[in-house]
Amino acid sequence: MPDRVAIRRLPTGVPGLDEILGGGLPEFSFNLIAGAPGAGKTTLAQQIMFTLSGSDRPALYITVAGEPPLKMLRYQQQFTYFDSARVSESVRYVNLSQDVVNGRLEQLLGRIVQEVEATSPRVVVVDSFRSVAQAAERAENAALDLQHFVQQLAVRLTGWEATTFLVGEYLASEVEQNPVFTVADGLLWLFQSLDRNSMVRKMQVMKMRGQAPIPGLHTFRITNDGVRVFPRVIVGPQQEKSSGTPSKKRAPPTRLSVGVKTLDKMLGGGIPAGYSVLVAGPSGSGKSVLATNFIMEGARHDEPGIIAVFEKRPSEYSQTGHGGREFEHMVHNRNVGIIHTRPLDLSIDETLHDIVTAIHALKARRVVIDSLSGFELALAPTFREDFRESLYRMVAVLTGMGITLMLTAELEDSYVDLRFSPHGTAFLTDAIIMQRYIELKGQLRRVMAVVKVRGSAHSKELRAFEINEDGIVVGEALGSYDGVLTGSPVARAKAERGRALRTTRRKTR
Amino acid sequence: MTALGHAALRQLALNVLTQHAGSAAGAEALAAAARRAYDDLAHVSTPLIGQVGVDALIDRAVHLAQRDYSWLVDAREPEQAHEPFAQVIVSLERQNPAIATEGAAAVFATFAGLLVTFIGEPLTTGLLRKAWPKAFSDAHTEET
Repeated sequence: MPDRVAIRRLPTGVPGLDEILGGGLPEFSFNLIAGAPGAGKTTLAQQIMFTLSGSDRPALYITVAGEPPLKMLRYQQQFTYFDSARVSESVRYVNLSQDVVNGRLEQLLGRIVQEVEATSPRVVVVDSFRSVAQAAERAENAALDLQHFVQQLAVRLTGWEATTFLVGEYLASEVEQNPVFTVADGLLWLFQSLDRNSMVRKMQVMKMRGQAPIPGLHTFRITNDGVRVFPRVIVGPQQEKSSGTPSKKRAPPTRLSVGVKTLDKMLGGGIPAGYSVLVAGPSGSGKSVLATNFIMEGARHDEPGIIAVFEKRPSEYSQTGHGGREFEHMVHNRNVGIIHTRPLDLSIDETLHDIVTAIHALKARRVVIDSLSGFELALAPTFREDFRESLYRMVAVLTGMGITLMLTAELEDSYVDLRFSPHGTAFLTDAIIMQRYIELKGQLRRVMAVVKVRGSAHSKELRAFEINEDGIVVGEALGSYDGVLTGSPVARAKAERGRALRTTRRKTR
Repeated sequence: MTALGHAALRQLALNVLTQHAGSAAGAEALAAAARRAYDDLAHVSTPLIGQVGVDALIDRAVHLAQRDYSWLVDAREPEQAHEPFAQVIVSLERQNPAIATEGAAAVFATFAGLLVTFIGEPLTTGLLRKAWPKAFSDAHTEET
């Protein structure tokens, strides 16, 4: 095999960006950061620049008639990555606005090269390159057109071993016409996606020569720390295999207790490790109580767990009489972690990132999502349309990590149909536990049943259960009743007597 | 220098002017010293905030300094219209050297104060240290 040139990949210092670039930024690459005003281009470029520059090889930030440098410096200082002490040392700003106004492209190229030769920078940023292109359009009888300018700039800067970013305001429709898109090795496009009254920032690596970026749109946020990217999770063969392949799950290695002995028996000995379980039922039926039981039971046996709360307040989990103090103790001892967020503009990838981070931090083995309805509501509207697909990816990734996942779903009580999820997501999970209300002997009672446990025998019984100070207490099987799921069961003996009576009457007639 | 308050900046500017013009300079020598101090400051500031940024802050600094030094009127010739600091030079040349020194120091101190407002103290300190290294060093020595 012939020796190939090794391309060093530089860490950008932007969380999540290296991953979507395909392993970092190729050294000496010539890149374009494009997007509409306010998309975050300058912030991204500055964050990368402060990361990559050092006292041995500084960064050169060339401002050209875009955002006035006086204002840019003022605003950029608000970010934690901006280090004033490094300005004019390892980070050098040069304003060439006047050169663009006065001169032609060949003069501008000369000025840029002059600055590069004087500082030998590791990173060069030209912001905004759009202004350069506009100056080129205005120039008459110029010796250098934009295409040649871009080519020469790319060669000169790469020749000086600089990794370059051109920052520019471009529209997606310009990609085919503008030579800069052809010459650039890497093309990062930033978007602000609007849907109703919500805005979500997205990023696409349209190309990155020499490596394989993660395709698609990745969400990102800009906080005081700068840009943070949440890579779009791609379900690979590994996750596909571990998420629902019967051959693997036919003989699961271990079963996890849900903390309710009778329910464990109904499940065939507990939940197989690495399974996803849907707990579906109407409001107040005890889904969160069961989910909390599941997490606490794990924590008691050295299996830390995470509860991602999208509906209740975290304090509500410890306010229940049963085990409230024990739960608080577990949270305090980091055997149980709580993720509580209600921003209403989340992406699935951001949520998944938070959950995975918490899993690694606590070495968690169990995760609860409480509830799918709240989770869907917390997502930005643009992601709700793809909720089922996104949920599929999330379940696949978490179970692929060996996590046993419990999801709760609120259902409207209906006695005319049998549904397990308002999202049509029941098929995504390996097991389903159903809870319902029924009227029995003049009382409102809760019942539950195990609807499915993939690849495993399980109870088919409908059982009454109560929630008292001891937690969930599963009671009698309702085998002696008919029509339990209609909400108004009838004792079988009575029903049979009724049928016999009706038959007799018909015969008598 | 520890904190870039107006008094400290004014003292720094006075040091620069004295350093360039000497202690018993006439109006013209004082104006030349102010020109040199300005050129040094603009030279280090322009790459960072652009010529337009420097001009805008000088315009504002002169305007603010006029409250105490009303003689800092705009007396530029038409060909000097593009250079805001030219009006300071013209005004300084027409004043008693002692008063002119105070007025010029006020303009520089206000300019530096505006820099602090916009780009912060660390960056401004870096610029002043680079533009006026000796005066900056002297001011630091005086403090300690």
